[in-house]
Amino acid sequence: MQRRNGARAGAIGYSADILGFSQSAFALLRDLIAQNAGVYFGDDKRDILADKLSDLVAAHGMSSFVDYYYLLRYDADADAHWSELLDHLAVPETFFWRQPEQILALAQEVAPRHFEMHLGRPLRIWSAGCCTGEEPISLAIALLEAGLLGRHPIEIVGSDASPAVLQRAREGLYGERSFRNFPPERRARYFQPDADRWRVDPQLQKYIRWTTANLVDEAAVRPLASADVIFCRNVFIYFSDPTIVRVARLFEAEMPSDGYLFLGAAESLTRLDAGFDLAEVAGAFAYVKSSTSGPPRERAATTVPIGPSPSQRAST
Amino acid sequence: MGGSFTTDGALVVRSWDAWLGEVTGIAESDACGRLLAELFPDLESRGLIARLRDAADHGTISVLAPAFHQYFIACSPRAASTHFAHMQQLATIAPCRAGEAIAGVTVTIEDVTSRLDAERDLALQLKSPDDAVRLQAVKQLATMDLSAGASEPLAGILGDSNWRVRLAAADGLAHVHDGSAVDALMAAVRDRHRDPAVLNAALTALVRTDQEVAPAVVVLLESPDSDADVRTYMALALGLLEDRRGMDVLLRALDDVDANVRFHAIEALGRIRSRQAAEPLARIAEARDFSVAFAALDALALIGDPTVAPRLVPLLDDDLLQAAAAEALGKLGSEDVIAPLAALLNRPGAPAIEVAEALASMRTRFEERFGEGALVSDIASAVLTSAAARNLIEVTSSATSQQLHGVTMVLGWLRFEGVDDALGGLLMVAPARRVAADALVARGAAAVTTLLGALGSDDDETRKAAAAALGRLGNVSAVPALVSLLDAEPEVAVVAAGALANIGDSIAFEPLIGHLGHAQAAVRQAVVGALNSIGHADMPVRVRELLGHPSPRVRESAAKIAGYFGYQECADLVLSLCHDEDDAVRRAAVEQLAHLDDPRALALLCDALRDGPPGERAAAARAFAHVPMGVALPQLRHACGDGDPWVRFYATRSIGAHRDAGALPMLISLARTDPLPPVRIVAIEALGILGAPESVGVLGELARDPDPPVAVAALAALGLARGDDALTPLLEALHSRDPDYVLTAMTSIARRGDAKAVGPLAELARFAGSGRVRERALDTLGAIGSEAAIAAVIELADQPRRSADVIVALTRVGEHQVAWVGRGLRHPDVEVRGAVVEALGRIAHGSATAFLVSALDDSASAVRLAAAQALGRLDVRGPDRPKRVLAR
Repeated sequence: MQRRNGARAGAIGYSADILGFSQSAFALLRDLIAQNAGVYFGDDKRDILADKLSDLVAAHGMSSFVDYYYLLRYDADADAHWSELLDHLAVPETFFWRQPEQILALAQEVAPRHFEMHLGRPLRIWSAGCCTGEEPISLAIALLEAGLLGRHPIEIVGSDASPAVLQRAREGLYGERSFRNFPPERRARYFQPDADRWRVDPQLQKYIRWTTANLVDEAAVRPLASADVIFCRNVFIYFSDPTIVRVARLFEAEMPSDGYLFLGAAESLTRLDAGFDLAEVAGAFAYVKSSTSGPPRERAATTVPIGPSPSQRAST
Repeated sequence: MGGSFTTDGALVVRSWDAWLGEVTGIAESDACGRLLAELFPDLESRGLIARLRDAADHGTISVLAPAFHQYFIACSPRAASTHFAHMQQLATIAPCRAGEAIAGVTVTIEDVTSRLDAERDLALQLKSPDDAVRLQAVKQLATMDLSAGASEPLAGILGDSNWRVRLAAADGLAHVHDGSAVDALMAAVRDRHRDPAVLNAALTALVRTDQEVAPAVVVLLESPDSDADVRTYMALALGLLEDRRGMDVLLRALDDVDANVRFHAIEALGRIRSRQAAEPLARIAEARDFSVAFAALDALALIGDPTVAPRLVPLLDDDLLQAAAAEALGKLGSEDVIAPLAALLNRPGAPAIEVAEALASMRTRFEERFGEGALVSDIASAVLTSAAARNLIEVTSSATSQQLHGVTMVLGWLRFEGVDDALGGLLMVAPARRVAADALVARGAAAVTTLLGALGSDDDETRKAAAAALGRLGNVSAVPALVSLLDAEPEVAVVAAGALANIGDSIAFEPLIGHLGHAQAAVRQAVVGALNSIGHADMPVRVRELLGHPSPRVRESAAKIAGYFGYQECADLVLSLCHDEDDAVRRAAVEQLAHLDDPRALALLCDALRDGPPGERAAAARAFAHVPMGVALPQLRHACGDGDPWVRFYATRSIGAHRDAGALPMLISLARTDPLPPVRIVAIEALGILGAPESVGVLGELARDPDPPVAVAALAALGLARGDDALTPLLEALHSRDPDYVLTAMTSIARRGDAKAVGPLAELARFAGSGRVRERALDTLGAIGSEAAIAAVIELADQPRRSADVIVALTRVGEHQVAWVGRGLRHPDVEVRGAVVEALGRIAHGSATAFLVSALDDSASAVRLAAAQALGRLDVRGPDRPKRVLAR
């Protein structure tokens, strides 16, 4: 047996530096993650990726990032490893009433116009990359306050790639940071105190369907993307340009011709050939399908497989 | 679809195929034996009989394009055509030879009616008011194998109101495979340049096309019919083309009567980067005409020829130009300009940001190219005063995040009041953080207070940077503060534990012990590492206690420490943990068995490898890498047949670690046949380490594996394998479309130093589509270093954009290779000779001096000047070179 003697023998820890996150290992993992999760870590984000992966590498008893790459790429149980990784990559940084002008544009302009044009047809809203659920809940509140939710057929889906953050969305418990842009009187109306946090009103939450969806998984995205309105805010900032184009093209292919795509303030499709044009809707910026993106496409005959709408549920 | 016929020398038909029979309605029996002019009388009047005669009498080959002739034989289209009454034909008339003599004529006819119909339809759609229709039409046109006539409608739509349509039209024109597109584009620039949409699209297409463009642009630039606007855009186009053939005309354009033309000529010369332009551009900069001096300085910075640097130094006194001059000097200057640049920073009101960026840029350039970055900071810091520090500190609040990098770097060279605090503040600014941390570490114990202050920041990244820096300093006074960070966010705690490991002070022992059960695996691993590093005297006792701790995380961590030190007094407990109720604890204990000096441990390890659950078998397989080879190999060979792929993976890797040639057949078998690619990859890596000639064949075979990681691993292993046969698959991989294959193959070739690869590498270095591949090919040639490889590197200097890389590669040569570099002085291209002189001036061998002396007689004044300057620098080289430079 081999024996190490004495102190200070050289092993000092298992941080990324110690494990040795070589450029080749970084490139392998960066590309695999970009391909499977859309999230792109440029060279300036190498340390961040190392931080996010170190715990997983250590938890698997591994001594190398390359071994972890093999696990993600080849293991029979790779799906479980990807879920675990997506939980680590998730950035649970969002809050209620973020960029409210877009939320209000939906409630005061887009939704009323939809019901005027398509009487009886459900308004489908997809909050893509909804993290812990603050965005779809904000949309539900705005639609409720506009007198639309509960009176018209509205379906709201909140999705995220990370099962862990989505579980938190389902639990509906929020800390103070989530309310930093949310008036206290509104909080009192829609949330109940629960220990040191706040629980969303179950009556409000029942209007939202939660589902796991990785935005680069075409099969998962296609049915969701036929929504009339897609909120995909502060997600593309983590993607590379080719991935943004791929995902936006998928949205564009499935959305009805009068659909709206809302992106975050720091995100733009105008420099990319993604099939969308920028438009102003009730003082907010949104993307509409480009006039040069091909002939208008009829709405898909199939419905989004998210179960019955709240109004339908109420009647059954 | 088409057909052909032949005639004799008198143009009497001798053969007539079925397709012609069908489309003309004239049967073979009716056609053969008759004069062609009798069959088709219009051929005479259309001048085509003359073409046939020309082929029969003189062997002339003619191609009759449908755009001009429409058809050779008049007949109806085979399918209904929207646009044509006659079938549109592409005809080729060629002599029919019998040995040396011409026996007659062959005519082949291709029916292109449907293609031209489609082009006309699409051309009509280009006029649609609907954006979507026009875009669709342009895209379709762009994907077709376009006829010459199609350039016209595409050029016509270059000024479309929709930018997507314009872009698609430019793309389409760039892909037309004949000169008609270039003609159309040149006409668009000449005649429609007042429409900015047309101009932009046309220039875009001109730059993208693979057709020959530069000669036409040169002609238009010098044409007396070209107005100033056209000349301006032609100068711009030559710059965008980066074609050295534009140099002469651009140099002449520096004297154009129009200021815009002169300005764009300067910019274009900068983009082409030829050293030929350095002298005239320096002259323009020296004239201090602000309308062109800035452009000239920018262009000089791009060209990077250091010979003109001394002429730019006086511009540092010009209030208007000093910032631009500093920037240019930072990009191109040699060590001679460091002191004047630094002196400028001492002045009140100095452009501190620009000068700091210039000095930082020089330091980075010198370090990356010559490993002499310290020379820059040494010379500069000897000149810089407290006034420079004040100037720099003042701009830290106004500099952009990009500029802060340079400002922070130069600030780090200074030891004046206020600098430490400023660096501490910069630690909180992301773009400056790394440089500020390095600067603080370089200050030693003096920086500890500043760094301890930064540990109290709210920002995790700042705390991590400060903690890591304190670890690098190894200062014991930081230990209490670092210990308190063990309870911070896990990412911070990991760095703090790493820093405590570096410091290795026993004060941290108990606090670290208290974190062995941390919820995050990464933190536990870092804490274990830190404790291993400290190696406290009480460790055996404490670990013994902890092996029985109620928390499985603590027991797991304790087992790892016990194994790391091989504590004999802990052996019983570690052995018992191999049966712990917790999986992770059992796995950790099993993995430590290899480090226990106890006969029971080996037996238990063998049992775990054969009979444990998969996780324990994998842990045992890892552990056998540390068991003596004779005992380990039989066990590992058995484990290579395990049903669990990750057990086979670690067993194979452990076999590789033992470097046992006897394992060769097994490794070859695993590399070839294991169902899990990672097992094949570690087997391939092990084969590479063994380097046995017997494995070359199988590695060559695996280099063509359909799974890219397997193939890339095989290419890497071939770099270590002995035997000439290894080169063949590596050369083959150089032709791969996947840059990873090409790059790995080049790394392997470089490792082998295989001179036979010089030819293909030289080709890649010049023509590869990927910039990374071109760069690596140049580096690989330098690494091979044979006479032919050095010559190939020198040749690449004829591309001005490659000059800097060529110089770097040449400066790394050994003493015996200097003469091969010196041969570059006989190269006919002055661009190449200039680069060779610069390289010789940086080569650290005395024999380079003689070549530099010989370059003083070069026919080109720029080369002579470069040689004189290089000799001047060498004069002050030597062990005390920096001091002598400073003394000047």
